Amino acid sequence: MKRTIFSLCFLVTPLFAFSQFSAFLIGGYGMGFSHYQSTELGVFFDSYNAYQKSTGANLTQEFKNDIPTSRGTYWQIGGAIGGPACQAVLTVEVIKTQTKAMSARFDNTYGRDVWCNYRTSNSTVGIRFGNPAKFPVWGQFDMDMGVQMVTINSEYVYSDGSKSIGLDHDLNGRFSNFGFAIGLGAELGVKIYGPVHFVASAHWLPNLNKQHPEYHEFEDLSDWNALRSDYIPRDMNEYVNNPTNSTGNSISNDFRGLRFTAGLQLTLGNYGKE
Amino acid sequence: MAKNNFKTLALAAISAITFAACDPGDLGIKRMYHGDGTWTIESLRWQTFDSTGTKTVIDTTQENLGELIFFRSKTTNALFDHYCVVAQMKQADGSFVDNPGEVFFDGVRANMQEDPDGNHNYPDDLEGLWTVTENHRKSQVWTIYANQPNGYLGMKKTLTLKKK
Repeated sequence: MKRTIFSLCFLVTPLFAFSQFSAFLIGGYGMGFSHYQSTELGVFFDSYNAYQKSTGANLTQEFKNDIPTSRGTYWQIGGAIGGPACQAVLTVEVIKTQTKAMSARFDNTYGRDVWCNYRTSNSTVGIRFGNPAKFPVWGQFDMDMGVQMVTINSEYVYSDGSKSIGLDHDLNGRFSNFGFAIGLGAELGVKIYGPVHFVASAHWLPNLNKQHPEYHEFEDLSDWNALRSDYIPRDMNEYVNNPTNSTGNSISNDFRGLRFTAGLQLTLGNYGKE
Repeated sequence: MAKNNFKTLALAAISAITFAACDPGDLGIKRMYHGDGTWTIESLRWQTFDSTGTKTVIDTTQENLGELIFFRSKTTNALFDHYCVVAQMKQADGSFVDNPGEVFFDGVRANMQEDPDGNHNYPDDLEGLWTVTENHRKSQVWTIYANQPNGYLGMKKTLTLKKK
């Protein structure tokens, strides 16, 4: 206990080393991008490609396990406290992004599109360095903890280009899973005018669990799926022959990678003021 | 002069970022029950296809069938995010008949079905899991597909709604 108190004082004291005390609120909004990869989604893609070929279907375009960078928006609120050149920052942010479709096509132009939505709600604890009153650039090191929801959307494409996510095909659906995510990252801010800063950040979310669990992770929890398969399979042969095997044959959530944001941050307080 | 140029650049940067990041977001069912929640059923188009699923054999459209009224309240199936909806269907004599049902809507799919009350009867033509083909603030296009036994497209039904 005494050691913990001493450590906290050791960490916090430098923030107040300067005579001027700095405290401000933070609000941010801008563009978000996620570049995630998933070995498990690749297992589904490979199995889908192999199964279609085994049935004699002419797959002119196969699924490739190269998830496109998603794009969307983020917003954040929070606050900071410390000295004029070093502050402890705590923010809460929500980032929502969507990828473009990954496609498989047959020679009769039918096919399947798969795309992903990511929604991350996390808390960020950071240490910010820099005094915008003297030099308009600052940097911040972050640690994130939060919840990430991944939704895999799977729709069938007809020959006229129209797309269905309905009950006409078993693989159609919106399959979601949410899990705990932690990350490390950094931010770079440039004071534009007054309390407005341009901020760019990069965070890395590692995959902490590389094991495929023997239970159902991605699910399409809709009441119309009560008697249908509501998962994305690892093995298409098993899916077709034994669709009720939703535990052992379901892909798990290993979506992890890099997340970037670029946007505006508003600081309300005495940050960056002489 | 330099200060004015910087201010102009700053305002341009703020506008560019705000515009680029502008995203109406996934409003879900809120888009449907917003305001008085009333949408006109502009048309319902039926298409049936030949055995190859590529050529249209029958193509008919019914127009101005009535209205769909979406409510903010959930049904007894709240666990699955089902909300109350009433299909006010126009009759041959110009009168309207109210048909309560329940709806799920997330901007990508829309499911309309009978609600748990056994005395209610939702129109068969509107029941089913629709793919939201177009999702705009004042107009919606939803589509349902059905396959033939040979796996090719057999029927396509397209519902067009306009915010009243």
